[in-house]
Amino acid sequence: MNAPPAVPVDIEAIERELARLWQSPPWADRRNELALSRTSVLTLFVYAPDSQRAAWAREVIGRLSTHHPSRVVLFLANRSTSLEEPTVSIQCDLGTAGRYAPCYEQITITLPDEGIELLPSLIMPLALPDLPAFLWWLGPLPCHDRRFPAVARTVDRLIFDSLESPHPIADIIATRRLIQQVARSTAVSDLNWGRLGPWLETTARMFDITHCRWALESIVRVELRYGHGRSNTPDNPTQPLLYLGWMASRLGWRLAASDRRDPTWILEFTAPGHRQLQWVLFPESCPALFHGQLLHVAFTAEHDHDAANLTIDLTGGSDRHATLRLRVHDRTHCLLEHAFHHHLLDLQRLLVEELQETGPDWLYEQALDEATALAVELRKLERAQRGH
Amino acid sequence: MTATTLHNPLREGLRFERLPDPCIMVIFGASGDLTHRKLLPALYNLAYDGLLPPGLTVVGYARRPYTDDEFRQEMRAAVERFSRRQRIDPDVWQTFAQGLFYFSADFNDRSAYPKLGEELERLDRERGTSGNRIFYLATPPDAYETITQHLGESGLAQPSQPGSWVRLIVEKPFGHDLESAIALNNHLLKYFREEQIYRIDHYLGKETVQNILALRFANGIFEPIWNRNYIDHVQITVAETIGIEGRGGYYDRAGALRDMVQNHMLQLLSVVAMEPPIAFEADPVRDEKVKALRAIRPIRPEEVNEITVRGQYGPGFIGGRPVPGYREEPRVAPNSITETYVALKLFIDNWRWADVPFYLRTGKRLPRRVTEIAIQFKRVPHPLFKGMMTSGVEPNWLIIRIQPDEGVSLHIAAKVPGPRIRLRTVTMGFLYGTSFLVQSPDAYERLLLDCMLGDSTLFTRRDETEAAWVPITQILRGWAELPPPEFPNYDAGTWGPPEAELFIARDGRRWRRP
Repeated sequence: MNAPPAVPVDIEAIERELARLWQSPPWADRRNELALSRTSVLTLFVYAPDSQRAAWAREVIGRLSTHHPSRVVLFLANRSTSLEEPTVSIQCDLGTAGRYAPCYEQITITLPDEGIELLPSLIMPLALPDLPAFLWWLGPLPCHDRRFPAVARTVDRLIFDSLESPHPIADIIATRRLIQQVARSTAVSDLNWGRLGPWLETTARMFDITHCRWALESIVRVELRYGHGRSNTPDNPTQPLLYLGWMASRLGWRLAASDRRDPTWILEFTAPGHRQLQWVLFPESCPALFHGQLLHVAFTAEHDHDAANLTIDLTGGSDRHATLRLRVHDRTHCLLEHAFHHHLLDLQRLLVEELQETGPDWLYEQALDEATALAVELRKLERAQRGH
Repeated sequence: MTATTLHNPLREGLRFERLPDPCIMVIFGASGDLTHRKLLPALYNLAYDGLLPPGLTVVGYARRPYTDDEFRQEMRAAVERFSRRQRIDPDVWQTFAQGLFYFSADFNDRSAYPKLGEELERLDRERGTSGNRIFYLATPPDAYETITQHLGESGLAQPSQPGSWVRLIVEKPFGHDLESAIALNNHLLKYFREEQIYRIDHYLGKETVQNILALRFANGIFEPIWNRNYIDHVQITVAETIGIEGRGGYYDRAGALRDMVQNHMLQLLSVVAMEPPIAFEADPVRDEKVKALRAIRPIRPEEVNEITVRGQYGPGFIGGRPVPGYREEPRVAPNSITETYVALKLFIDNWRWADVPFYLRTGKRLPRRVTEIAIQFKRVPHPLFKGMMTSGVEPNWLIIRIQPDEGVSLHIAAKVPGPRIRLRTVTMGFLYGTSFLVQSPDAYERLLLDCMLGDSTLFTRRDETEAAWVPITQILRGWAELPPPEFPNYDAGTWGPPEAELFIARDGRRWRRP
């Protein structure tokens, strides 16, 4: 492998320039009605593989600015041969401020396209001391790249989005391997798992209540639909597999058999007590916003003469106004109806929640373990299907 | 249908490992201001965030002859107007509103309560609430005794099913002096057990108030200096720009001392002054708060004039707008001697706080809305840098700001860069919102959820309420023996009567300008 071109970044010059900006802020409110607030809670490193994603990241960071971490370092991969000088700025949100305007530092560094191994030498000196460092990786996570664990190890938490994955099933397996490699130093979190939070909460809530509780041990079939809304992108079943992995890990289910009737996956499980149950996963056309998202989960439970259908649906049409609606029916009538806002489709909210956590998420890791076992099986099926 | 929470393996590791049991909240005074402004918006916000259990049911109890649908429409309008959410989510509202019901009756009508009981049993069957009840007294305080008596006598104050629970939320004021507080508590305890009673003081639901406990007991640097050896004095300020906002009838009987000091301000004082609890649980925390309140130095009526200042606002300007004086407000007597401002000095006679004054002040129509606790540390023992300060030698202050701009700041002296030794005071600030990246929930949201979960840590216990009335009652007695004050004695839009400045200046101190 060729060494990447060197990127002459003068870290001390960056720090000097930032110090100068803080000392004489040209944007200070001259009427002296606002106190500019410099709050330090973390360092956020952002890697954008192209300028389009970098622009989008800047927009998201700007929206977060009223409650933003103190330092943002944006790494922009640049395919051109000429690299730009690093830029530094201090951003303050005067528009929404009351008496205090929160401010944050932003440093932008362009990197060569193959500059992944340069990252540790830039991240480590730019991280604020004694505060957690986060790396938000936009675009596909290079989880197959042998150089990447060294990058991940330089931060306390790596945030990525498996919705961006070009090869979702293979990437689930590689992600688990990456987590094992960096576990001692770095927690890894998947925004796509974060989006599942309200689904997990709603599913648990269905079975909190005694008259629905029996159904948890009597599930015979689960139908799960997830969105396919990007015409040039393959199906991304990561979210359904993580959801299924979560249930399997909590309830002790073991995969017994699997089948693929394109585009449907059929998975047979054995639950404790040798009970059999079936999961049917299939993609459904949807707006691009819901690509890869769970749209509908329906549990059918049967026990003696009891039967129940428990369904959860995602409704609503925008990232800020989606709702999860839960319904429980017995053979004759509706027993329960409940709805609440699904705020985690909003990337800003999702990131805010991720930035509050620094330790590993054992629930995610256990769900991923199970999802990985499923992914291994599904990959075999895919290969077999291609073989035919 | 029955609904009791069992162990659910899917709940382990989730954001909330425990959700409230499904329950019915009966709000007495459902047509009132508190229900519209605070309770229903808080419940809707909890529903929106997915924090309420399925089946949560609200029964509004009031005299007006509403149908369920009319009540739902009115509550929707209230939520649209007062919720911190910008707009109502129609799906969330639809399922939330399915749980809203109305019961039209007079509080005094004894025969209505058995009917209420039947209605609650019907709702239990339909909505799976299993006999779990919260009775919320959002009425004028003179209705508390009647309602609780009827609840008790109709059997509604105690659980009707094994495993179910009944709780009572009581709004302030808890009495108007020590005797009436004891009488009210005795009355409540005829029908409810103490652990069923949740006396609400919404200040304790504020994030920053809870953060005082975190600041003190989760940081090794503060507790060693949190005592008379290092602290010169404490100032607690609750300043409001508003007047009495149409509450003249109530306020003219209560005054600032009862309305603000007895509850909110003494709660703030108790969390600042308390000893470390043995656990962050309801009774250990409240035990320590009670001890701090009981340690307040007894006040003799003859010394009241020395340790308090009363004020009442006259006409003036707030934010460039003329406002009337207190005596011109609706439903206020034209010769009222009710105080709208009070400043007082208390001592806590215990090992930690001996001889450290706690200055409290609160007022209406002050120039800025602010609630803060300011702790002034002692000056350095030797003035090494005398003459080198740019604006006088300032002692260190730790400011705990509760509203607005919730946060904590520490004022320290630092050298001004340059060849000369010159010092000035600088502020190290921590802003709650900017640091924690989330919007704080409304205090009522937190407290309603805690009550549903059976967590009474942030509610006041009987002995706490009564301990807070002891010094207040003594002050009221002392005032009653003094000639009537010459009111008004401060202009709206100023920091209170000039006497308040002299009062603290006598001790060689001054009020902070918040």
